[in-house]
Amino acid sequence: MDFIIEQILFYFAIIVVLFLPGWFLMMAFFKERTSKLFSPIEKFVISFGLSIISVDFLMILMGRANISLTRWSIILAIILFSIVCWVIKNNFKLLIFNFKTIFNNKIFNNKIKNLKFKNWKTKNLNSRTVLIILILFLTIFIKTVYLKDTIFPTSTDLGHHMYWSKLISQTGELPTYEKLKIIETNTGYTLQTENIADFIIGEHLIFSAINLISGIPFISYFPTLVLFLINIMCLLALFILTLRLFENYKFSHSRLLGKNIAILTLLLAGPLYTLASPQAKFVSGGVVGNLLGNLFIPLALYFYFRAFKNPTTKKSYQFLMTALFITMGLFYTHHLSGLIFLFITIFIITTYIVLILIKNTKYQILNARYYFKLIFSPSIIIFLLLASFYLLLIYTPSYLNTDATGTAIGAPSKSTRIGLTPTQFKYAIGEPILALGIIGLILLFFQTLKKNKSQINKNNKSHTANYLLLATLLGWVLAVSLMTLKPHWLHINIPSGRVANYANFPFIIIASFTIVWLAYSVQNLRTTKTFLPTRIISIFFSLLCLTFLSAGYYDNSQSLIKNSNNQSALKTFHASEYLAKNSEHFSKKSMLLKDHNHIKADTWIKLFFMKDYSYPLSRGFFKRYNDPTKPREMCTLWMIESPSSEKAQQCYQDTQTKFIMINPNPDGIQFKKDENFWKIYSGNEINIFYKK
Amino acid sequence: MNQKNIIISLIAFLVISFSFLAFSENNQHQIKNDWFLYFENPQDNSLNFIVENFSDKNNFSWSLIVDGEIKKTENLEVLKNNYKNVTVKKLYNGKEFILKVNHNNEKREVYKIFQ
Repeated sequence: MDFIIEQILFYFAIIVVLFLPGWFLMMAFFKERTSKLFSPIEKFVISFGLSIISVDFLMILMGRANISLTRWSIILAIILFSIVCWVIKNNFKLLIFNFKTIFNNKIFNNKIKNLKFKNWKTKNLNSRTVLIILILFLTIFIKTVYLKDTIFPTSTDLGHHMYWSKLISQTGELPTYEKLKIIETNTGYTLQTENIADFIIGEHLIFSAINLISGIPFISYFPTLVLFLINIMCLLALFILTLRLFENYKFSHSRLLGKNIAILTLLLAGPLYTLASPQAKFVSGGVVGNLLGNLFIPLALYFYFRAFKNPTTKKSYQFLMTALFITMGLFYTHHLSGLIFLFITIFIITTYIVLILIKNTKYQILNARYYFKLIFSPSIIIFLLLASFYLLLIYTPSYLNTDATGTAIGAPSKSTRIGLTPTQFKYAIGEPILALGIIGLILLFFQTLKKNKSQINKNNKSHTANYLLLATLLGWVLAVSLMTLKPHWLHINIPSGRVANYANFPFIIIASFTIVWLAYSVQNLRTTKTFLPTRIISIFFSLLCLTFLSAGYYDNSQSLIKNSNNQSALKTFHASEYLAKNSEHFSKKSMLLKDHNHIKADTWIKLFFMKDYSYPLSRGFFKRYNDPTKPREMCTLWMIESPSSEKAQQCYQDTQTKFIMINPNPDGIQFKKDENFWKIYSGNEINIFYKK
Repeated sequence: MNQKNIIISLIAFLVISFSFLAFSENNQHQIKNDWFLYFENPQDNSLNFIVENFSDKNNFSWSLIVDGEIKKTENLEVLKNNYKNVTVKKLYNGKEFILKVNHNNEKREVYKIFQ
């Protein structure tokens, strides 16, 4: 019964936090045009993305206004926000009339009619609908099978993130991103507080909100399920972006195939490459920032594309404002995604300018005037001023307050940041996707330039859309490829492997375009003479598709081979709970040290104590202590490796480390011989020692 | 495309998947076939200890060893998914007090060393 109530509360929290505010905000942005401008799937995905950002900004505002973040304050804030959006949507008419008038008048009735989705095609199920449902079923099914063994909270990153979310829930305040660090002094060692640049508030607030509303603990299924939902929404964001990108794109035989390309994109990103990074593996691994970044980047591109596609229309202002709002949300969520998005934008603009220079058409020059007018319109400038006000006076993301921006820009400082080799890049993207992506880009380039020659005088709208489509995809691919392969060219200093995860999606969109183009070209061969019989070409194409499918499933199968370590994690939690229960007896400064190398789910230990991000201190991976580029503190290594040594004893004394949690199999022996330690807890995977 | 059907199907798939995963995760919170031994108070001088049992067998035996000499041995029954506090009076003089527990041919110990 408890489980059922918990589930109801969980779904209630998901709806309130992740759908409601975004839905109303979308209504406020686009007013009565919402149903005309967006299809139901678009509204579904957009309301999700906007909700995350709205809740983040609302909670930040509450925190800054010293309003405690509790279950009821968050629910009330979301309801109030939704009412305000609804009032804006109705042009403030709710403020003038009483409720009875509102519910009886024409305005409300018209809105209700609009809510019945004028744009919905209420035809019977067609083959495309069935195909999409089947793809979504397969995607969710495969991910569920994978997550069944990884849903238990053990991952390192998720443990780190959930500490901050729990801190927000516990204190009801916005966190200060800082931690204790061991510093070597002239006389020994000391613990000092330092700022952390790697965590950004947007990664943590939605988890706190869901925890507060549902009451489900952090060490449970809910963080992973939220990430799972974000991942599914990311796929749908990719789907709607592809739909809009290829909306007016015509192949040489004048057929609109945008829907087919979008469905194929969903197939490739969905069931085929569904487990590897940046998808289900990131969900179970708790890579919160990347997952959110992969949702916001396509969503922002979607709105920018629609804004600049028809810059003369009134709705383009609303599209641009929404795009800027999502971009702002991205920068409040994940700095790496923000930086990558910045480069993507620069590359898209540059590509677009180069394309104009190549063709030098009067329409593009005319459009440039409209673009200028759009960007420097009063509404956009007011929005940007408000955003700057929020950034400077209300809340500045932690990475802007520290030296993080300085460390991300410059010459690569580590071997992991000098760029991937082409072979590594090939495996990161997926061999067939990369190959078809490159072919697709070449095709798209020549098709667009060739097409525009003939269409130039016929349809300026589709002409602009085709240029934007090419610039968006080419710029996106170029930006992430160069950032991954040649970071020093762009003067960036970020882990190349992580950037590679952002390259999958644009390549998947272009690969889908290539496959659809090939399929229709093969189909067209029936009417033209070829050097090979059509049947042979069809068989060849089918084999190509089969190779593609098997490559995707091979990728999935590689990810499925995984040993579950839930039992080991439970033992870690048991030991942590024991110490946490007894912590009332400890002196406030008593420090705990644990080992990251041989203890499972060790990053979750801090959630039992909630004393500091660095409580417990951690012996990190051994290779980290031999970093020639950056001298590391050695105390955490010595205190476990040679606890009786003089230097370790000094570390124990200076850091006031009183408890040591280790795996007895590799590390128990060195403590057993020392009279300074009591063994106070004994399990087959965890021992705890007390330093007298 | 009938998008209404797509969204309804998607929500249905997600609810089924989420409920299954939540139920599955809930069932994984049980420690299996293991047991733990620890001091009741990790910092003071008392020797009271706790045995927590998650295995199918309930029989334990424990002994107190002072400076290498066995001073006391007793049997102990701890039911599955349960724990038992054992009070040990410090009647003996010595430096090293080891509490050794045997269960199903496996030995574990905790100790306190006094100056």
